[in-house]
Order: sequence, then structure tokens, then C-alpha cells
Amino acid sequence: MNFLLLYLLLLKSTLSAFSGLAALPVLREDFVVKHKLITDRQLNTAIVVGRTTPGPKGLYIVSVGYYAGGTPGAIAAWLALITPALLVIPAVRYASRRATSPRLKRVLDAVVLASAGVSLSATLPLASDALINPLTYALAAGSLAVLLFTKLDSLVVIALSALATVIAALIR
Amino acid sequence: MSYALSRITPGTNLYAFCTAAAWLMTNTRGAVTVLLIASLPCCILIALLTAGFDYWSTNIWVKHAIDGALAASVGLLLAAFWSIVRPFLTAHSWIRSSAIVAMSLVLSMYFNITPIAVFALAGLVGWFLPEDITQ
Repeated sequence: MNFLLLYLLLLKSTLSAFSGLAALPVLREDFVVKHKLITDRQLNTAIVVGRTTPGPKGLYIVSVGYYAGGTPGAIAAWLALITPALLVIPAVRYASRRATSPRLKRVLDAVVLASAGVSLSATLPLASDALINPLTYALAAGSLAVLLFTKLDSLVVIALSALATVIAALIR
Repeated sequence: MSYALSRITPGTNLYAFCTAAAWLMTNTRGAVTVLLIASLPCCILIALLTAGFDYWSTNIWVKHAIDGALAASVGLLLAAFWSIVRPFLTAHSWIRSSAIVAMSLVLSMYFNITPIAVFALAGLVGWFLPEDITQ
């Protein structure tokens, strides 16, 4: 796939997201289902890579770009990641009064809620790829519980989970 | 104002905030410079890390570790879902919020409607909703 098309596909996903992992359904639809540029496992790995580095949660898009097109793909993803931020300049200049409009807030809130619902539907195929035995089911459930009920960083949770599967393989 | 506008700008809110604040303090060139400086190091790091994952993924022990990390990422995605939805589950708005989430899930899963179309539909619903959805 050429650079421009890759950039436009990635831009489509960043423009459709208003929070960290909200681009996931659009990315999966375009990169896994429609164009088959990456697999569910690579998308899932990209999320893991994204959470093991400092910075905003949406950075996994760079990893997706890398899997889809190597270094040029990562550059396309970086450009797609920063392009929407430039929209804020005309917004500051012309639309700052409307930014606090209750109706606009309701529209955005509804879109954010919809992105959560669609993200959940995109999580299910990723889960079926990642949850391959009872141990991985237990690790997924344990990770969810730890992330919901403690303040442990996701990087630590991922590292502990990775360590658990290595130890389990050593014991076997 | 920079913060409020960055929240309603699509994409990574943090980058939009940096850009808006820099534009207010300097000019367009300053804003673009700040955006590049803020985004580039993490993006380089993540590209390098992905390349490392790719290279090492044939090693059996790394493969085992990745299996564990991927399992954790499922928990992480579910936790992210909950962190998005939870602020909307107030006494006044939980029914409407849950309905929007459930409808989006159903439309996406069972009717194969594309995410963009679901978001557009949700935006339309939000436009006509009465005031207290986010109270």
C-alpha cells in the first residue's frame, strides 16, 4: 500500500477518535478486516507496545503503521497522529465561543459513548486471538481486576503477565 | 480555553492541548514546532520497540512473554472501556448512556455497520438529546 493511502487510512482512524483507544474499531475495520494489512495478533501487540512506552494512549497507531508498512508506515502513522491536533488552531481562532456549547458537548459525549460500545465489539476478536488457554484467560481477568481496583500502572500489569507465562512455560 | 478546545478536537487530546497553548503563546510556526517536539520522541521510541518486538518474536521465550502480554492487553482494553463509560453512569444519565453504548455495540457487532457510521448516528442522537445526559 502506498504511503499516502496508508496515511489517509490512519488519519481516518485518528479523526474518528476522541479518547485513547477509541480509534481501535476503525483501525481494525480498515487494517484487519477490509485491507488485511495486519492480523488481530499484530493489532493486539501494537496495543501492548503502545502501553509499554511513555506518552499518550493513542500512540499504538504508530505501531500499527509500522506493522502495515515498516518505517514509512510508522512515519505515516506519526503524521496521522499529529494532523488532527492542527485542527485546534482554527478552533482557537474562530470557534472558541462555541466550544462550551451544551449541545456540542452532548454530541461529543454521545460519540465518545458510541466509541466505547464499538471498541467493545472490536475487543472480542482480539480476545479470541489472545486467550488461547486457561492461563491466558486467568491473566486477562486478573489484569482487568488489577487495573480496575488498584492504581498499578498498566506497564507493570503487562510485564507481570508476560513473566507469568514465561514461568508457566518453564514449569511445564 | 486551550484545554476545552483540545477535548473536542479529534485525535490525541494532549497534542491538541500543546498545539493550542503554543499557538496562544507564539504563532502557527511555534505551535507546529511544539507539536513536532512533543510527539516525535515517543513515536520514534514506539517504532523502535515495535521493530524489536517483531525481531524477537521468533524467540520461544519472547513468544511466551508476548502471549502473557497479549492476555493482559485484553484486560487492559476492557478496563479502558470501563474508564470511558464510568463517568457517564450517573443517576440522571445511566439509562441513556447505557442505551447508546448497547446500541453501538449491537449495530457494530450484528449489523456490520462501520464504526464511522455508528459514530455519526450517535452524534445525531446526541444532538437531539435533552440537556441532562452528562449531568
